[in-house]
Amino acid sequence: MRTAFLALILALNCLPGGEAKTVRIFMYSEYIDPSLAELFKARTGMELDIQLYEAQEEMIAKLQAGGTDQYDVLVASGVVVKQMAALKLIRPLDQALLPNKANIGAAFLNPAFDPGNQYGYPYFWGTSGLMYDSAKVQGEPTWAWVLDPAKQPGPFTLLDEAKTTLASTLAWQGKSMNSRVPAEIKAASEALVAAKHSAKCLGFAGGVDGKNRVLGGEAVVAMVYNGDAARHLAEKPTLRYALPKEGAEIWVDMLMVSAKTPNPAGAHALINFLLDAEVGAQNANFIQYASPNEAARAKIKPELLANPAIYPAAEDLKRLVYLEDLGRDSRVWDAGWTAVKSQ
Amino acid sequence: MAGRTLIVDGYLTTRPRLYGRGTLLILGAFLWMGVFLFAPLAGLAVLAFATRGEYGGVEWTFTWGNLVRLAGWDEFGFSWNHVQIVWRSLWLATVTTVLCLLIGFPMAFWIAAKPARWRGLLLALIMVPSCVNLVIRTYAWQQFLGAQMPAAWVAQHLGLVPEGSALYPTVAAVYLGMVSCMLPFTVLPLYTSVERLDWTLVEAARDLHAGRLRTFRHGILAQCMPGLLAATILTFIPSLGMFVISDMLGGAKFLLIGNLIQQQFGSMNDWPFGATAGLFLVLASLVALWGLRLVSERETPHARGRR
Repeated sequence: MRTAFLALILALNCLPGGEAKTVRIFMYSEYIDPSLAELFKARTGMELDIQLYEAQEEMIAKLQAGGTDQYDVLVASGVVVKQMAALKLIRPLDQALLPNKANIGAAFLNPAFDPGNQYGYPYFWGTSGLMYDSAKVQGEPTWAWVLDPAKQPGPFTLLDEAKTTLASTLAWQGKSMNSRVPAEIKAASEALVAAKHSAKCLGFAGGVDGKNRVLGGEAVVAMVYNGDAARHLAEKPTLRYALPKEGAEIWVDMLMVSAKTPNPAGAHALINFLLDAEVGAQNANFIQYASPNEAARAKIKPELLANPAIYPAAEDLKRLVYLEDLGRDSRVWDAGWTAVKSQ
Repeated sequence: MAGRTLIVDGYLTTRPRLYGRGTLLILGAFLWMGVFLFAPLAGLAVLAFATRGEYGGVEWTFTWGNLVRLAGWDEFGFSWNHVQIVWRSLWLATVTTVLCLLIGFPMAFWIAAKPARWRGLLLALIMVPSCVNLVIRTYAWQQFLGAQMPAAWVAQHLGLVPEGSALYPTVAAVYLGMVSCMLPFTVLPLYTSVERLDWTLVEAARDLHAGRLRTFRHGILAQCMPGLLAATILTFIPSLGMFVISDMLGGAKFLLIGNLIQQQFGSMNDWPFGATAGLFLVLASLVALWGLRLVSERETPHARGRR
């Protein structure tokens, strides 16, 4: 059965011209304007095939199981670039084929996780912070609203994401959000245990659930990703999204080329296409995430640019930190998170 | 021996032919078990002793480290975390099973007492919720227990919960979700037992002046033992690995063994340790099955010689 299946795939791959005309991109659902497929075909003569995954781990597992020749362009967050490069799931870019990289804002070039943009260019970016009801919570936004039992203003939820939540706690304690010091991570996990046992804690929730709790009035503040909050702030005028004063996480999703793509030219053509100013603006207006494309800004809807939950103010940007893949040291984080959820 | 004729089930046959036919009959089940149970289990057992690569992935350096870690030694030294996780999972599964049996047993009698034309419908109604995805059903409970819904309104007015708060995350909500999810698996095996109950034995017990309790104990419960055992297994074992419900209705404040495994294969990217925890869960389930078998053999001594 398996051999027959493989033979079929091989036969399909060998059909003359069949490969070079399609570019397959592997990404989260609802993360690209579907009408761009037509525009891509008009400009390059190639079909765009959008393949979806629901979780990044699922994508990496699929690629590790030998799927790197099934896709041309991969979209994944910056945190996993090092890991994907180490596992040989992605290949270095041919910079000459990507003239539109000039459109990317300087702040988003040459990130620590990918020096010299050897493997990828940014697609969209976002943050994690606090969504709250300003009618019930006042003052300068701080992680203490959810982490300090003495300062919690009312019912709240924490984010059920090991890395983001531990990193935010480290920021609140004035430590590096990418700490490798066991004692610091232990202290952060103890703080989270204390926060969890507060009577006001409604528990750990996904971003969507946390957002729903604040919308429904059951919680007054919740740790969420900006994307969860951005589209719902208009539903109630007192709702806010803020990046706490102690610092917060910034994430960026990267466009990368699959290690064994059968169509490297097409993969580069697609990345270059998505980095185009006009295409970038159309895409940003559709999916409503923040675009790193400086040249596209002029054509992005002003109400999106003015939404602080999507595009934070310049002074807020300075406090944002990228989370890194800590390699073997991530076991300390694992132990910390297990302690948070056990005690 | 070979070639000697035998009479089996009224047919003339030889030993090799009997073995041949037997092998053919069990081959399908054997292959199925081999491919889908024993092979993956063997893979899990090997993976459990491997090492996590620096950036996830698996390195084939064999170590006892994962076992030591499961026993409680991590980067911060020894902790009871994993013991607590296992204990909590066992407790949740046990309470769920007891609640399901307490609700399911009377339900089985109630259905069995209905006219035959109603029984099929009632059994189908018990099964219907299982056709909906577990996560969606649990979301439905979240909606149902929400702050603006009638159930919360009643609880708020009775002063059981503060004004404006939902009925989840709470321990009660977790058990509500667990019992509603597992109940069909309890009721169906119980029903098949109850339906075939030999009521003459109950009458005999009454005739011999047994009290209500003794009639139930020896006349009814003893006969229902196989169904009770099947119901306990089908409820307890899946409950042991369940974590979606406790996360969604319990606020995800405490890990269960299911969470621990999911975390390793998911965000923590440590497949070998996930395999160790997974293997532990499988072994724990086997021990539980063995224990239940011992109990059932003690309760129904006549069943041993029957086959």
